[in-house]
Amino acid sequence: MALHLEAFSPAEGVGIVRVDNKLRLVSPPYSRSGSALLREESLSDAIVKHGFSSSDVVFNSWEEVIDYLNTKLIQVRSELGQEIPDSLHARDVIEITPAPVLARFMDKVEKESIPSGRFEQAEDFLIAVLNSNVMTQAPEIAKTAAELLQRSKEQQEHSEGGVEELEREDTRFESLERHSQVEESTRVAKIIKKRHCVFAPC
Amino acid sequence: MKTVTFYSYKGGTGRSLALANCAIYLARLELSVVALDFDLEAPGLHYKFSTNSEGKPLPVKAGVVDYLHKFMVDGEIPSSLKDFTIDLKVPGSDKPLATLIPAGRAPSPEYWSSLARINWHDLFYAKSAKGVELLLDLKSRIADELQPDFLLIDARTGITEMGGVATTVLADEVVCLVLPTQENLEGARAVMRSLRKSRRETDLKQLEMLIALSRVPPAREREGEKEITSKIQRFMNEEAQDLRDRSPVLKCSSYTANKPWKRANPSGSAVA
Repeated sequence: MALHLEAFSPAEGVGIVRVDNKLRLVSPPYSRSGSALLREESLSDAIVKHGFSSSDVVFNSWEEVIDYLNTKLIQVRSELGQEIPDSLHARDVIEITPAPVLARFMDKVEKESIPSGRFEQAEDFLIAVLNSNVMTQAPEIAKTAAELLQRSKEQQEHSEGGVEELEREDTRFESLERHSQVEESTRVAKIIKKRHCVFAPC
Repeated sequence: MKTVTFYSYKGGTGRSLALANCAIYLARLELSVVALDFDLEAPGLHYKFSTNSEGKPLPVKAGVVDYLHKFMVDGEIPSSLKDFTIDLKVPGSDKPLATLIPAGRAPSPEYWSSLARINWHDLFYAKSAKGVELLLDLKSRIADELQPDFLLIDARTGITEMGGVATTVLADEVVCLVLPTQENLEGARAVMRSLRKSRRETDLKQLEMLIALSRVPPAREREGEKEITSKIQRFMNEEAQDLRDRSPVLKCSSYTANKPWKRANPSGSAVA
């Protein structure tokens, strides 16, 4: 069985695999049974809209696919980790950093870290700024840090939601359709999803 | 088709046997029955309906777990229910008794492996989850393809996803078997209250609920069956703080081994 990894997001460990001519989404926590079927157009959406990298790597088993995604995930995270200073030390450094230099760092966060999806790195830095004496010494920089933190969080949510937004293959429940029960079933399913428990807490 | 789910908060109440007896009782009234084994972690209906004198189970090709697995792994809904059903006959005749949809080929390594690979979160709670629709569709298909008068579901004990769907989503009536112990009664009452709340939240028709008291120990028989059942009925109907409804919803009856419709043979199966 050939498994073609068509696209993946290394920072999230998510991959889109073509197997038996069907597209499947593989995401942590990995389990083959949990891999959802995707519509064909989701592949281009993933690359164009959600920043997935295209790929042409072929594997022989799901284990190999998962190993590969795991390796990429660890690699990306460790690269980010090397750049992330310990937040306590960062605060000490920030407090002795001249305002113009700090402003350049903020600029880097805004133009590089957030757009490239390095949200953890950005947030660690921004939180360190907000925990330092910059709040009182340079309120303008503190205000920018707060705005960037908000933006980083929003973009992170949007980015994570992107995987969920990829259109799944539609399943047709023909018996429900015949009896006009699709709408009611979907409504009940939505309530259960929202509650995150089949039984209502009582 | 009326759907009756047999539920118990704790195990050992004789729930599956009660369901099998009920199926036989309905068959005697010439009503057609489908029995569905949703107790996936400890399935047993294929034993209860067996007529084998040594207690061997009915031969099972596939069941509920295979149905779920096909949907989750292959993304397909099986085209027919035929592969998942066993037609039961009245022993010694060709007369239909019931149709069984077993949980699967349990106990076998393949069964446990398939069960372990079902991701309940993905089936019911993920954004793209379709588990509720899948099981409502299964119920609808049973009504269409098998056309029974009754669908009897053997639900898992405690609080599980499949037990929840069998009681809160699929059932028209819930028979809750309890032992007369505090942990049984308090657990069962909490679940029954939760079912009422679930049905309100989902705007589905309220459930009929029946508490069936099982295995009253001889020491308590002195109290008298009527006293015990009415005491339990009062306990079950105590007003819940967040369910502002005092109308009694739970009828209570006792289910003991000497009831005339109990036909258990020594192997533990229900088929006489």
